[in-house]
Amino acid sequence: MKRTRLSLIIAAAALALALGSCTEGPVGIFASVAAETDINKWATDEFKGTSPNFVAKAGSTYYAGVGGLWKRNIGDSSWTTVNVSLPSLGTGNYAAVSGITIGSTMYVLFADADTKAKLGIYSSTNGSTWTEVDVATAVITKNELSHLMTDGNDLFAVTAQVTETDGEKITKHSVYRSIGGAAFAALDGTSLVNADIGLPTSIVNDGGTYYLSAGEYIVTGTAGSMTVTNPATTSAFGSAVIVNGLVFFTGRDGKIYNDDASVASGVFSDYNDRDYSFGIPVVVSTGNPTTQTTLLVPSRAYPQGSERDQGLGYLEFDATGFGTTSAAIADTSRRVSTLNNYFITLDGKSVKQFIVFTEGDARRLYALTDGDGLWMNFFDGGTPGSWTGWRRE
Amino acid sequence: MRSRITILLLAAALVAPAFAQSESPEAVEQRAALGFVEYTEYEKGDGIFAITLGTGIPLTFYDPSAPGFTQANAFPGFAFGLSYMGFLDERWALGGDIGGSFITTLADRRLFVAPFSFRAAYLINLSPFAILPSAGVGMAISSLGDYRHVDPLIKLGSSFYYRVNDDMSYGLNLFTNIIPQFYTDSSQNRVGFFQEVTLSLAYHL
Repeated sequence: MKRTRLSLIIAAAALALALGSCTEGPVGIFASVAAETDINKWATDEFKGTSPNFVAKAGSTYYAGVGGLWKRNIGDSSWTTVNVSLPSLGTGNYAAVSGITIGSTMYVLFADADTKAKLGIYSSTNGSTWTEVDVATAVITKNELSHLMTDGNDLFAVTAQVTETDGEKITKHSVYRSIGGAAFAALDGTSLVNADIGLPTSIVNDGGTYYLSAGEYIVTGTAGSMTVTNPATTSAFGSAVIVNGLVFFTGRDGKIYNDDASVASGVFSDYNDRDYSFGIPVVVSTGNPTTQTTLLVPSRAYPQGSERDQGLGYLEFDATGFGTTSAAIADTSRRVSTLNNYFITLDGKSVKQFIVFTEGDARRLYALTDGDGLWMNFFDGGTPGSWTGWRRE
Repeated sequence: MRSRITILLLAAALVAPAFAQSESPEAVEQRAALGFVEYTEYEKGDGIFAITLGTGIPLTFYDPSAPGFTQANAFPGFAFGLSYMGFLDERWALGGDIGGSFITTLADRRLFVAPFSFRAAYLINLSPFAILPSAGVGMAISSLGDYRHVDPLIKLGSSFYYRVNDDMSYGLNLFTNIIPQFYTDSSQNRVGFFQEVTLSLAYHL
C-alpha cells in the first residue's frame, strides 16, 4: 500500500514538473532535429566560443578580426590566419581590434596582442601591404582608440579617455573623422571631444546629417555642428540605422525609436515573452525577381551590472513601409533563413552585429556574436534567388 | 580405458542430481509437516528493481504530412533509468520506469528525452536466465534548448537477465520508445523513434 502511494506521488510530481515547465516553441522539437543540416561542416575550430570583432572586405577577400586577423577568399570554404606585417613594426603578434570596409579598402585598428597597447589604424586593399592612417597629424592618442565606424563613405574613430577622480573611473568619448584616409579631425571639436556621453556604437549619414547612438545619448547634426541630446528614455540605444531613407535607433529595451527618439515602438518580445535587447542592425536588399528589403535587428546580451541580458537571436522586419508604429514581425515570417535554420543556429544567441557585403547580385551576410563565434548566410543572387541559411564559420 | 571411466563418472555426476531431486511422497509429506515452505525464483509479490545505464540511439523521425521517415540527424547518447516490475504471479508483472537520454544532434544541439512508462511484462524463466518482454505506455518529456514538450509514449522491448544469486541479476535491456509529438501547427508533428540499449543491475525484492 505504501509502495503504491509512493509511486503515485512520484508519478504525479513528475507529471506536474513536466507540464509546468512545458514551453512550446514555433518549431516542433523532433521536426527541428529532423530538418537539421550540418551547419558546422565548414566551421573554423579557432572561431568556436569567440566574440569576433569585425568582418571586412578588401578586393575579393574577406578579413575577420577574431583575436588576430583571418582571411577567406570568396571561393574558399575556410578561414586562415594572416601574418600581418605593419610598417615600421614588421611582423608580430597583433590583435585585430576593430575594422571596417569603405569601397575596396579595409581599415583595421591593431593592438599588441601581449601588451594590449593600441598600435594605430591601418588601411589595406590586399591584406599584405598596410599603410598607417594619419601618421602626420596624430590628433588621436593611440592608446585611447576604442573602435572604428563608418557611414559607408568616411572613416570614424572612437576614443575612450578614462580618468580617475576620488577612486571613481570616468570615461569620456570622442569621435574623429577621416575623409578618404586623410588626417583625422574631431567630428565636432566642442561637443564630441572627450564628451560625457556613452560609447558611440554606430553612425549613419542621412543626406549630410549624421546620427550617432552613444549609450543613452543620441548625437545629430553636421560635422562641426553636432548636438548631443539625452532623450527621455529609460534605456540605452543599440545603434542607428537608415531604413528606406528614414533614421531609426534600436533600443536596448527592445523598442525601436524614430530619429529623435520621441516616438517608440512597443517592446518586442520573443516566444517566451522575454524582451529583446537590440544591437547593430543591417538592411539587406536582394533584387531578384523583385526587390526585397529586409531589416535584421540583432538581440544582444548587454551587461547589466553583474548580469547580462538574455541574448535572443534576432528579428526580421519587412523594411518596406517600416516605421516605429507600423513595425511588425511574425515569427514564421523569415526571409534570410528558414524558420528551422534560425532556431538551429542563432536563436537564443547574443548577436551584437550584422554586416552585409555585396558580390554582384549575391549577398554575404555575417552575424557577429558574443561568445558564439562567427556565422554566415549567403544569398546566391539567382532568379529567384535563395539563401543558404546560417552556418558557422 | 581410463578415459572411458572418466566419461562414465562425469555422466553419473550430471545425472545424479536428477535422481536426487525425485523425492518419495513420504519425504515430501514429512518436510511439509516440519514446516518447510518451498519458494520459486519468481512469484506473486516479488519485484525487480533495476538501475540502468547505457546508450540512447535516435533511429528516425516519421513525418505524417510527407509522409515518410527522415534521418535522425543525431548521434547516440547517454541513457540512464530506474525501473520496478512487481510480479502478479509467476509469469506476469506490472511496473514502470523513468529515465532519460542525452543526445547530441547534427547541429551540435542537446536533445534530452525523458520517458516515463507503465509496463506489463511476461516472464520467460530459463533459470539462471530470464527474458522479460514488455509493452508499456506513458509520456515522454522532450527538451531542446528553451523548448520542452510532453508527449505520449509507447515503449516496447525486453530485458534479459542473468541471475547471479538470490538477490541480484545482471541485465541487458533493449527497448524502443515511440513518441508521437503533436503541435498546434500540424506541420510540426513528428513521430520519434529511439532505441535504448542499456545494461542494468537488478535487485530482487
